[in-house]
Amino acid sequence: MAGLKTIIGLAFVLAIGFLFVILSCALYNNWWPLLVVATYVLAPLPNEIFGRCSEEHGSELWNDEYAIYISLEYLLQLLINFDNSDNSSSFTDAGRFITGILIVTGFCLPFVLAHAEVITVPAMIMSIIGGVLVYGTIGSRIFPFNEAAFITGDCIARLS
Amino acid sequence: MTLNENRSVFICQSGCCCFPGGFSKANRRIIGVYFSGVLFTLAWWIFVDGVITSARMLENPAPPGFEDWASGIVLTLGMIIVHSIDLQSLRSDSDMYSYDSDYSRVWFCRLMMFLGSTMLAGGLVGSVVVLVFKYVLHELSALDSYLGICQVIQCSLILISTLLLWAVPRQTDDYMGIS
Repeated sequence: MAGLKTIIGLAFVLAIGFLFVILSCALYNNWWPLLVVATYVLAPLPNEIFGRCSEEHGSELWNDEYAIYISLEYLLQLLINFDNSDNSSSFTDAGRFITGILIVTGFCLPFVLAHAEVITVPAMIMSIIGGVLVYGTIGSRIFPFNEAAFITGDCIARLS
Repeated sequence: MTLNENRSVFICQSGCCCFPGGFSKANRRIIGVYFSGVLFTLAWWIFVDGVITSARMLENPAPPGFEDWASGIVLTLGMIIVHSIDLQSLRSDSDMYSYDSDYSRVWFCRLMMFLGSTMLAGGLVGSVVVLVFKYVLHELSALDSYLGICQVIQCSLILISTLLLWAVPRQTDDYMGIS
C-alpha cells in the first residue's frame, strides 16, 4: 500500500479543500456553496453501488480452473475498491455516468450561482479551488493503489 | 522482462503516466463513459444558467417559455431510449421469418431505435429552429439571445455525449479481461 506519509498528506489536502468551501460560505455570510459539499459526499456512491451490483454476478462462476483467479480478483477488488473492474457491464457504466454528473455539478453549481449573483465571484473561485482539491485527493487515492493491482494482474496473466 | 508490453515512444509510457494500463480498451471505455457524463451535465448546467439569466433580466424582449425547454427534453428522452436498447436484439438471424416472436421482437427494437434516433436528430434541429425564429429573426442582441445560444449548445453537447457513449469500445463476454 502507499506510505503512511502519502495518506496523511492526502487527508490534509482533503481537509484544506473542505476548509476552502466552508470559508467561501463563512467569509461572505452566504451559505449557498455548502450544497457542493453534498455533491462531494455523494459523488463516489454511484460507483460503489453499481459496482457492487455487477460483482454479484461475477462471483457465481466457480469453475475449477478459474477459481484461483476469481478469488484473487475478488480480493483485489475489496482491497483496492477501484472502479476499474474487469467485469464491466452496463451497470458499472451507469454508475460512472452518474458519478460524472455529480462531479461536474460540484463545479457548475458555484458558477451558476455566481452568474446569478447569489454568491460573489471570490466565493465561487474559492469553492471551485476547494472542489479541485477534494476531487484531486479522491482521484489520487485510487491511482497509486491501482499500480499494485496492475502488476499483480499482469503476473497472474503471465502465469496462465 | 518488461511488464508493460504496450510501451510507446513518448515519455509518459503507454499513453498516460498516471494511468496504469494506458489506453487499453477497458480504460478507453471508462474515460469515454466519464467524459460522456461530463458533457451531458455541462449541457444541462449551461441551459440552467441561460434560463436563470433570461428570467432575471428586467426587460426581456424574448422571455423564456416551454419552447426553450422542449428540445433539451426531447434530446434527453431520445438518449435514454437509444441507450436502453439491447444491441443483440437488433441483429436478426438469417431465419428471421421462422419464429414469429423473434421477428416481432427485432422489429420492435428497430422501431425503438428509429424513434430514439429521430428524437435525437429532431431535437437538435428544433433547437436551431427556436434560436432562429425566436431570437435571430427579431434581430436581438447577443446578450438578449443568451438563452437561445445556450440551448443550442446544450443540444449539441447532449448529442455529442450520446454519440460518445455509442462509440466506446464494447466488451465481449469474456470474464477474464485483465489486459
